[in-house]
Amino acid sequence: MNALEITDLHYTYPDGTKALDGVSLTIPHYARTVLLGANGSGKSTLLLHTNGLLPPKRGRVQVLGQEWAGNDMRRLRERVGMVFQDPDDQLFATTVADDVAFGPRNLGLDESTVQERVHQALNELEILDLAHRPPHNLSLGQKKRAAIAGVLAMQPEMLVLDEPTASLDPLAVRHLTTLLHTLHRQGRTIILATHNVDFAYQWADQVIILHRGQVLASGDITLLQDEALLDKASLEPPLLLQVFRDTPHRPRNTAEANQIIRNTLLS
Amino acid sequence: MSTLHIQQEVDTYAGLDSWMHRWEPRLKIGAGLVFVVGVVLLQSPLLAAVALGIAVAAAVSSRLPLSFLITRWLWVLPFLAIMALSLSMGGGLGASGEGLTLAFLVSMKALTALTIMITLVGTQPLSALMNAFTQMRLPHLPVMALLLACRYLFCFRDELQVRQRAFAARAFQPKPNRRTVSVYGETTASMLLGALDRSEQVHRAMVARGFDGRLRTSPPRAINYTDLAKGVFSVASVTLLLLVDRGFPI
Repeated sequence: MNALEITDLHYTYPDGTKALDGVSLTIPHYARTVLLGANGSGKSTLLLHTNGLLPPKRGRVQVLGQEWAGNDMRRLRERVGMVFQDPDDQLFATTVADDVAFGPRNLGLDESTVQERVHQALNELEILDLAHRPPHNLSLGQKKRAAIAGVLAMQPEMLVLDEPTASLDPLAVRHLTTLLHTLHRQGRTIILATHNVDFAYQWADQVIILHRGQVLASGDITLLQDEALLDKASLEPPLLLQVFRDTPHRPRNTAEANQIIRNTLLS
Repeated sequence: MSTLHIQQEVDTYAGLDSWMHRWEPRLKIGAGLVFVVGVVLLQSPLLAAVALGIAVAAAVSSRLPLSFLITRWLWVLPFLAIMALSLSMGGGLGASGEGLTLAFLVSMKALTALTIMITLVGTQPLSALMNAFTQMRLPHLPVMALLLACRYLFCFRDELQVRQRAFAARAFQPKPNRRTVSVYGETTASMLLGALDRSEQVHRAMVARGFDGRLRTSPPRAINYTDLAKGVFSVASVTLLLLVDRGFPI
């Protein structure tokens, strides 16, 4: 059973914009998958289908082994947590703790369990000190963490994030990367949409490249070495690969790159 | 004024400790509303002034600074002044002391209601106020609208500020002319359209976390005898004013 199976998915917005044009893809359980694509490639629209927020206009979406509809949607949303691109869209309550409690309360949990989950999620995201702060009083990085905490408090087995690195400073991106590694180690399937190729290269197991509402390519991160493919998708190769382009080395992160450079210099 | 400043202003005195801060929010709101309705029914300007005195005393004893009250009164004083001027100049009653008396009565009632509302809002965090509205079983739709308005009004104001800076950066100087009206009109329209898009996203984000149209909050704290006593005292004081107003022998 796969975490996500999409077959020939089409979606057109009411204004006539064709966002998805026959997308088919498979994402296995426990994968770290990145949907890569330029703006307008259909990434966000695709993610909205994973949580049942958009019904397929045509095609089939199977999440965690089944197609979901009607009264089952609440169960789907408990199992698949979605973090939106702009945390201001997600953080609507007057305090961070209230916002994090929103999801668990919607699941009908008793108040002591709700508070337990709120504490656990805030602790996991290292933002316990922000619990009673109003969301709009936070930095963007803190808002992103609060938004993720709000989803984690529902204890989903699959996490879907839309442009999680957008507008974050480098330190916040580093924190986010560490956090995503931790969440993955806890056994979650994680799917994220981004146009940040460097982030995708360092973090993902599986890459799916979208272009104009269609899947251009799908595979492991070696896809990101194909400059012609990336060019077609209006993307740039990862910086590390550009630096090491004419060498046999393909460092996955800066630590590996440092090691290669050190070894080369020493030899 | 930034979002941060607005929020700080709203919750500035919410963390203090006073009899009003410790009052259970639902009872406090209920008693406050009863007091305001009672004051609206008063016919004597003197008793309306006494009611304002009680409201101010309640606010000050809640450790809200007098300056906090007065700066908020300043928002309504121009409207009251126009009303008083209109009534004293005639207003259907003739240019007499009667018009001025009526203006005084209306002003006292308005300031009393405002003071009570400021005290209700200022002596608890915004979140507690929203929770109380939900727990009072008010219809979900207006409570949700109020909650979202409180949250996104700040975003809206921030965005307006950013746009004003963007105008200034491109040497735009507002003048009393058609172009300025047109620029501000277009900005307002685009912000409203943006707000519409955002509302759709906010709704999606809420639905993604299991929202089904019903706002669920933490259970209310139990009402104790002290809360009840405060409520009884508040209702009794306005009842007393009404009885005196209607000529009952006390």
